[in-house]
Amino acid sequence: MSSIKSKAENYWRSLDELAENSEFQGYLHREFKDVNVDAPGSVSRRRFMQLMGASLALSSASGCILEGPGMWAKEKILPHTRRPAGLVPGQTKSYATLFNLGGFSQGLSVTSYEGRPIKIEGNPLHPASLGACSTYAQASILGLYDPDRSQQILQGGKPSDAKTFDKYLSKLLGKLKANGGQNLRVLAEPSASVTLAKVKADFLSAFPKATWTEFTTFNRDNVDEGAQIAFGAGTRVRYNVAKAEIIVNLDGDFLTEHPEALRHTKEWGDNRNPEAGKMNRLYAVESHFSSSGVSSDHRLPLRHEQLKPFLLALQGALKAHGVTIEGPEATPNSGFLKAHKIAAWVKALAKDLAANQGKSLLTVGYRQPAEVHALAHRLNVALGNLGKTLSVLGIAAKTNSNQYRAIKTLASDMNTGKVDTLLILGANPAYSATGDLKFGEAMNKVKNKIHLGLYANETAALATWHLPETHALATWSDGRSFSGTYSVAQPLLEPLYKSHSQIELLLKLMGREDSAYALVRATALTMAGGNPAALEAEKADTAPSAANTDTAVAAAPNKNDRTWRKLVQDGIVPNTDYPVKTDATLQSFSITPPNSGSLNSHDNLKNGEYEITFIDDGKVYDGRFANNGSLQELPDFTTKLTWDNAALLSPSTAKTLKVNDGQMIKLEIGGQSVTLPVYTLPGQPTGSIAVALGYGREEAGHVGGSAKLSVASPGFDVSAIRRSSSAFQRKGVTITATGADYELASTQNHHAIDDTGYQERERRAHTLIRETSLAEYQKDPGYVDSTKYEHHLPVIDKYKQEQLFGALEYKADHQWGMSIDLSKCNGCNACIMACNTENIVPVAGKDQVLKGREMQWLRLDRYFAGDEEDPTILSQPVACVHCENAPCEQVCPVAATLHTEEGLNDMVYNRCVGTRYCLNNCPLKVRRFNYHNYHEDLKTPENKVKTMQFNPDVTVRFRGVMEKCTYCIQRIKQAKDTARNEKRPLADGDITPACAQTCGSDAIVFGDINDKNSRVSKLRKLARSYGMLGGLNLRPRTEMLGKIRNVNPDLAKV
Amino acid sequence: MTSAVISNDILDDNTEETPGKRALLTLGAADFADVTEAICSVPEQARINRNWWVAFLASVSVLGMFGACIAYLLWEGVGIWGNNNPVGWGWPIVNFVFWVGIGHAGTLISAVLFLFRQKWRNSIARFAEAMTVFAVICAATFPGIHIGRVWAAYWLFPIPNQMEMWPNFRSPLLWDVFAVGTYATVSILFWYFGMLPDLATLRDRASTKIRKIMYGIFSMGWTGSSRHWHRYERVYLILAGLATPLVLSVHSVVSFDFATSQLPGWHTTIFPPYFVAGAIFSGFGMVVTLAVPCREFFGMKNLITVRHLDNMNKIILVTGSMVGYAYAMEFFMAWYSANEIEQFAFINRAFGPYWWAYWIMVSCNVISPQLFWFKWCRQTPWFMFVVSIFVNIGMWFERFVITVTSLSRDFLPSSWAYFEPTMFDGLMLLGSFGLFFTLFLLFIRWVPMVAIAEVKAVMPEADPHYKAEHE
Repeated sequence: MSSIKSKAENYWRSLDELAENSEFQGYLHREFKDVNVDAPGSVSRRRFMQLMGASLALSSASGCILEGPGMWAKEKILPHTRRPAGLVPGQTKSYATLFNLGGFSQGLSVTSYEGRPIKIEGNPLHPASLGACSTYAQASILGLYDPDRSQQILQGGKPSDAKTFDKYLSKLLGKLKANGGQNLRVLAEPSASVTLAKVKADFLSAFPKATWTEFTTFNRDNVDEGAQIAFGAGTRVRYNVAKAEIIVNLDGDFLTEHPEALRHTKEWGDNRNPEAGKMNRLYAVESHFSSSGVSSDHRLPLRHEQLKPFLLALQGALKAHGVTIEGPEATPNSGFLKAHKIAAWVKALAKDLAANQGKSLLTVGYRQPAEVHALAHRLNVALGNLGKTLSVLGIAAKTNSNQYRAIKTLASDMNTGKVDTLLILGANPAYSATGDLKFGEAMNKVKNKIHLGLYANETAALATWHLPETHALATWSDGRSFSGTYSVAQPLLEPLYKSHSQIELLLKLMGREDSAYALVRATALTMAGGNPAALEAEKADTAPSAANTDTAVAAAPNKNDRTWRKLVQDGIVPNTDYPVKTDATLQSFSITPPNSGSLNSHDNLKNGEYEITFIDDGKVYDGRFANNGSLQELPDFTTKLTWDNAALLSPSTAKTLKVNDGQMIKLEIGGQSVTLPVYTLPGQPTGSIAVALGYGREEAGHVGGSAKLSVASPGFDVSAIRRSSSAFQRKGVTITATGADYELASTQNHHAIDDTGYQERERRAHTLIRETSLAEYQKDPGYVDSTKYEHHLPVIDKYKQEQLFGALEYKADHQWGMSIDLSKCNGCNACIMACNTENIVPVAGKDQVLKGREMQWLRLDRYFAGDEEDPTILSQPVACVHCENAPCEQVCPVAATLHTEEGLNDMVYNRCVGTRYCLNNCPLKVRRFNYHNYHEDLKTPENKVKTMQFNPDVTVRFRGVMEKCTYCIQRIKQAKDTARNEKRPLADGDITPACAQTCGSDAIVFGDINDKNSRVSKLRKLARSYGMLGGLNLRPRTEMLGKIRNVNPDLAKV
Repeated sequence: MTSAVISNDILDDNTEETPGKRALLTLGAADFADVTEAICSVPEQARINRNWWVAFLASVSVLGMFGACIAYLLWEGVGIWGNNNPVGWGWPIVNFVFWVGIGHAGTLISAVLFLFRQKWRNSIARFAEAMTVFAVICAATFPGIHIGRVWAAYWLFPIPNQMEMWPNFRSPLLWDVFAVGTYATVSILFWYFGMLPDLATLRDRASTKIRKIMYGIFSMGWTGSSRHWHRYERVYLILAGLATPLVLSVHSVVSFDFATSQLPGWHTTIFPPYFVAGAIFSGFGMVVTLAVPCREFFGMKNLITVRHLDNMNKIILVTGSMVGYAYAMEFFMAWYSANEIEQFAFINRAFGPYWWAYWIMVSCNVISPQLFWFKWCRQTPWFMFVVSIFVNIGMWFERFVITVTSLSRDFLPSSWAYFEPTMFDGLMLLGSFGLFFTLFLLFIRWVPMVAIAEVKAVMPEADPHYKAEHE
């Protein structure tokens, strides 16, 4: 097989033909045909695939691909003459595995359909997931089938083969072994994997003179160092949000950015339950609108640099309230306090905190320097929160230095010729290193550069050799979560291309022939308390074809196998959390006084004194997801921008600079500059500019941009003005307008609209998102009553009599309905990604978004309310609400959208001719029309691999057809079938649409409203449950629960 | 033979009202033979004049472009237009309603005015009807190609099928299919039937064999016997009676597309009468647009006299004022309803991002017809031509304002979006004019553009007592 292209073509055009092909057969059986990891003596790959198949599932049995080699050959022999136990063709299975990001793992439950994983959800047993799943983890299923993923070994950017590489490698290794790894450097991303850590240790002992550097853009070094200052080395602070009644989120986002964000969200959401009398209060003080800021009860926009003086001021105020705080730091001068509501805030906050000692929690985001973290810990301890709302975990003391410092050292070593061989594992430093390091240039001074990565990216282009990395869903690995819970990551399918995982490559470099599987198994058994020495003696699992049910676990031949099967099945090893250090005490430390600039009020800042902060916008992370169209098109939850980053300016900063949305500006600092478009975001602190990282990739692929392919990249790369010494913030930016314009694709009209529209939107936002304070709610629980918000006709009460065509009768046993609790929604976008991957929602492209044709079925409506400089954001998930009296149904001339007896507003794609009348008549505008064939890319053979992700129970819609939320009708059907087969009635919770399934705070609840005891019935009966646009007599099946803010009376009027 | 009637000099003034005496509807002291000659001479020309060719080639080119656009549309999908998520209907529907509206005047003139014994309608009925038929053809192109899956367009018709799947009879779009379909059928029937005696005249006068055969076929054996005339008059009256309610129904039903939805700005009970008035307004505007140059170029000034034009302009004035009243009433109702969303829809029309479209509409439709209060304006052909063009522009914008501005900002501000047309929106509007004028020019070339028999019937000579001595 000569080229990648022909391979992909054949691969999909004719499975049978390919399956016959001996070379193909070969590499199906042995991932590394030319590498010979399958040498006799070790557990063969064939063997471990058999084992794997036996031991996987959460529920039962092996997927058809997993219990034997050669998954494609399977297609020819269906139906099985002897069907593997538990395998039902056409039925999906879920397997537990892991998603590792930034050195922390999140448990997943991956749905697999006949051997191909199609959907990622959270593993309910995993503490960092609890069933929910982050947007990134969900989107990684699309990355698995990304046709741009690296498929071939490249030498100097040109296709090569394993033989040539091996020749090169043996020469290089011979030299390295001789000199003990002299001038050998490894650059890797921080990893959660314990096995990798072991292999790393082995590697470093095999090459004792080599150095290992870890680097990732959004690392948590500041947080770790903060904990170290406050509690000593080897500590990590874990929050117990469930116990916190007052939460102060300081310039970060404990609800989405934290490794345990999903658990935080769940615990936070559980305590946003006014009916149960549980209502925490969330304050957010931040330099950029975060999801915690959107969810907060009170929010104060402050520049990044002002957090320290703010905390010092708070410390002073707490002292005044009689809280004993060690530390000599002085309170910032009164000038600082005067500015921008700060004094009132500090006063009110101190009072609230002092009154809730032991029940409050201060959290700080990773972009803030270590000192600020330490200071917050000091306040937490002083408030008696230690051991209550936060605990100190004992972890291994950090041995490596700060990542930004480490990569700087590495770059300077490379520049001074101290590096002969550079091995890069997964990282993409040529793009993600800060601009001052000029990492790309430094790479040119290194003789041997080997890059292992999922993509032939910027770093690969500069490397001597690029090796394709195995996708995480196709290899054995493991990982520990933030709290230490250990899990095994099992592969869901064989690697699609010849590739190495990081573990496998390191083993190969050491000349070892053991498999990753064996190593992971050994690690896992050790973690589970097994005796590693005994492992060697034991025979491997000999019953691979047995179903992986609890019975199968019990049936395993020996204890280790039982343990192994169980932990793979569950996806966690219990009791592996880091120990809580109950004896942790606050260290004594002092804080350097804040620099005078940070005390400046917003109004006194001049151009040239502005600060810029570098953020993660929840879409492309550090750029690694830039080639994921679904993420690129995901509207940012505050700006609603797609396909771009922009310089986010507060309206007053924009006014001062005389720039408008979409105008290009040059940000200049220290002789370096970047140019990017302006986007004004109310609530951004004046004088502070936020820019998302991860955009403007040079070699990402057909979606994320590529110079090689002449594909323009979405967004703008700002690394040029970043410094490794101050990675997330820089002060002293000068801004000049360049006069050029740029088109930003936002899915929602921006605030810069005509006055008529602006005023009406302000007025209407409150009628759509009905919010009130807790106190008001307790006085008037039925405050959401539609008659108070909109024009309401008496005809509503006579619904049935007044129907022109007669009201539909809903007589079926089940009546589906949904409830969305606006008090719990934090706008994290995970539900949209869940819907996208479940329902094959197409990516329309930036040009289509500019025309207003985005395709997401579910959207988060965002409205600003109040002061432009310090607004609150009203946010609301909106998808089809399945009106009982649906306006869309009346007007369809071909009856393509109809009601089922169970109350679903069905869309019959086959019948739809695309008049778009239903769209016009839908008051919520939730219908999405295929103006073009948005799957046109699938015509190209290389792109056909994308179809592997497509949910077989969902139709792919062609152009000219209307689509919209179906309440995941395929899941309803499946659950009903299952219940029928099991001869039992459907139970509440059997059916969970994708959005509800992944919602971290359980804001979305689905169920049968005929069942009086179902969760959704109970929620819909709450006094604050309302249907949007009640005046239209829609009788929606999705109802909103009014948003309750737990307002601090002292701040209510500020 | 040159008759006075085909000279383009205006020989008399028939615009004055003389008490006790009916004004003449043909001028130039023409007799029956003059009229026949004047009208038949146009399709009988061996070589039609160069201007016709220029106009025809231009129209056919534009029509060809229209065809190419449609082909591209079928290839690529409706995404080539500017429609988006809130604005599901854009220019194609605007064009559809625009053309259906224009198609109104023909039937109104030929049927309603016939029943009301408005004899002046006889000179303009033929080409007003032709205009109707062609406008309906133009209109009918749009809904068909506008849908997402054109190849399934026939599902809109109640065709029995093995799935026993019927269309949704509750949908106004389906009513539309029936209303426009009926209207097109009756209009074509009425137009063709009224043409029979004239086609026979052309047959009888034909100088070449092929003409004799072709006109012979199309005149369906008309001999002009009394029995033929008797039946012709009966059927014509019945067809007029049948067509009359259609004048009201077709645009009422088109307005239901909007009125029965619940979109603010669409959902109003005033729409049926308002749409009918607007349709008559735009239809007469188009008749004037066509009549003025036709009578100029083809020597019809003494058959389509200034009095005819004056009468049409009065109708434009009346219907234009009705439309203006409807505009005002929409605002009043929005205010009176106390429904904020409804109120915003109208404030947004006049002062939102589409304010310019709204004020173009008001200037053209409400202000410009008011000039017809002045006699000079009503009776000066070049001036009324200009006004009629404004009326056409205004009525197109009326449909644009209703369709697009209402959709672009409805209930949820999150979904508001500004609609921007693409090149194809513009080209296809232009292309529909290519189709219209191609058909119209072919009509002028081959068929008597004025009803010969009917004009004769209203000439003084047709009066049995003509030249009789009165005691």
